[in-house]
Amino acid sequence: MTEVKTLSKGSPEFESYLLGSFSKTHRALPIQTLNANSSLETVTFEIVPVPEIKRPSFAILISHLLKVRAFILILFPVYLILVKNNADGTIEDPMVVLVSTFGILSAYIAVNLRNDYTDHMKGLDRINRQAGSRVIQKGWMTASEVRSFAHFFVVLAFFLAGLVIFAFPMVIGVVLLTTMVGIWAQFLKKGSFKYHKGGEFFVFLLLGPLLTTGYQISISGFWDIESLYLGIIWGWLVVFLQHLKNFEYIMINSQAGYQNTVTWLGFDKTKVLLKVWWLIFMAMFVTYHLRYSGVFWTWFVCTVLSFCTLPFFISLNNLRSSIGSDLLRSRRLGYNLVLITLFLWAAENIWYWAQWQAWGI
Amino acid sequence: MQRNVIDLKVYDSKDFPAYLPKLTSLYEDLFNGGKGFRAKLIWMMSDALSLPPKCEHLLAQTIEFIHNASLLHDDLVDRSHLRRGKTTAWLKYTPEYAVLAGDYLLARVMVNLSSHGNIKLVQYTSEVISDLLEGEWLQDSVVGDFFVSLEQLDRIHNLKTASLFKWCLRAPFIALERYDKDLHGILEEMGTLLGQLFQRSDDLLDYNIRNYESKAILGDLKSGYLNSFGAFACEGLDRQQINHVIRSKDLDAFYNGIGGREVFEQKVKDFDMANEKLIGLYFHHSERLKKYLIPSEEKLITYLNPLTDLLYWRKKTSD
Repeated sequence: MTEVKTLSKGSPEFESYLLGSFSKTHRALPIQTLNANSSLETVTFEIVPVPEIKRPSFAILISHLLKVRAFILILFPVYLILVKNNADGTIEDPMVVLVSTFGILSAYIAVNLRNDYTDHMKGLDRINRQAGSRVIQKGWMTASEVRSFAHFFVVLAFFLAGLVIFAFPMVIGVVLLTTMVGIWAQFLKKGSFKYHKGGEFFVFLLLGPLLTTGYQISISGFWDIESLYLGIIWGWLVVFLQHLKNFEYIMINSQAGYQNTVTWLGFDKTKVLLKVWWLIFMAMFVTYHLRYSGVFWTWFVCTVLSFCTLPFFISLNNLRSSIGSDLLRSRRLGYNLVLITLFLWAAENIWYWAQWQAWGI
Repeated sequence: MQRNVIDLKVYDSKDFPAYLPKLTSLYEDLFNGGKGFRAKLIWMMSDALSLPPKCEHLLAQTIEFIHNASLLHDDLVDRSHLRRGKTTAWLKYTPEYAVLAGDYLLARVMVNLSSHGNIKLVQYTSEVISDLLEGEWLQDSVVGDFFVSLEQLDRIHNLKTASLFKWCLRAPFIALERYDKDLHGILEEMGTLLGQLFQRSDDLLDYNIRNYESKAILGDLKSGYLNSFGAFACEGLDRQQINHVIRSKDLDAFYNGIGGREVFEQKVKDFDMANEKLIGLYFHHSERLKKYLIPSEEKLITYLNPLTDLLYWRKKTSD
């Protein structure tokens, strides 16, 4: 067997092995964690020479590290606000649009990297082998390198925000508010917001109304009720995804003492939460369309979503284990519902754009 | 030192009320057939740590009561007809008696331990019983789920099987009022690995691998349960292939279901290789354990090290 080392939290080397800073020639891959998130935590590491670690191509490494698939959580509301403001003729300067978009992406990447780092150090990503980007646990990068990347993207985000503030001073309010919420959420006394019940509220704010109104201000100098409403809907949808993910890991999180709304409610009540949450989303989505879109699309979207919701609700009703494959199936159905929603929303936008092109608007 | 497990005599009808009908015969059926491996593990620990005989008997009785209580409940939950070659208690008597008999054993455990007076031992044993029941609950919830992953099953087995092995390693030290948290951390890791290896080896018996005791083949699969090797072998199969596997009435059908005999044998090799890594980890922890033992206790390592051969590779060692 390759070299193995076990360290407890009280050991002076513990943090350096977790960070990966104990050696320049070897990586410590965590293979077993006991009593995570407690003072009795012990971790067994497999010590592997760096040349023996099978790293993927640079593109794959970056896509894992930056969680490129999750960019849709940022890029889709950005796209909706862009389309809306373009249609309203309120975009001032395409360069500012570019800088704002990259600024938001940088901030999002920074938060994700910081989460990866924190979840590794706290043990969440070590006891749950499906969670996180796995970049640290596989030895592709050390935790300290990931932390450094997070710092880089934070600095980049602030730099780009500074450029946008120069163009639209009003945006400073949103930037400051977002920064305060983000810092408070990340550094709460007992650990970041991810480990608190109700922590999803911060996700709702940061990826919802703060994102949409802030972005609108940054590209046009003002915000309106429609973008705020859009942000509320989007934030609600993102939290739905968060609840789904937490539901999949309810047993692991409960055993490790990680708290969130799902572990607080328990298995049976979370099934109800997911259904109610989705129904509220659909109600908000339909009312948004009734107010800002045409009748055809409102009823089309409502009908399609209602039809697609049935399999998800049936799977939740039939779910009887917090650990089997049926739970994964329910989660996938929930995710598919979100993807269908995005597809319909994008299709609607493209349809309207095509109409305007045809009418010469 | 040669000792016979019969000397431990964990069950004595005189310890139970004479006025409860059928209880004595139910327990005699239950305790007479068992190998008493967990009690033997307690004996090894007690011998190495020089535990007083009364304490050794208490611990051996406790673990066998907990284990057999879980068997009574398990057989009813699974609707099994045979246990150790005999008709299961719920079938021979009634389901109600099987449940109550299991509960009664757990209650006796609490009575005996609290009389002993070591509150930390009572607390730890309660936690282990709680883990055991959680594991049984979760196991029942995945019956019929043929897409369950090995990692998910490991979580169940850690609660259900490994918890008792952890108890066997930790309880003697707790009984001696040795509470060093690093020591118990090591024992916890070793117990987890022993439990995992034991369960995986037991699951291999279902596929006639190292099945020296001629255990029934494909019993778990026919009961609607995909065990750890089954989950490992079926990883990556699509729904159609899994459906074919589920309907296997014999091993040949199972081989065909997963792609042939050669594929099966390669899967067994891969499974053994993965478990050899766990065995390597076990030895790593047993090396760490030496630091916490006084010289007279170091024979504990000679008792513990061969357990992987016994539990996983099913190699017989002398008692």
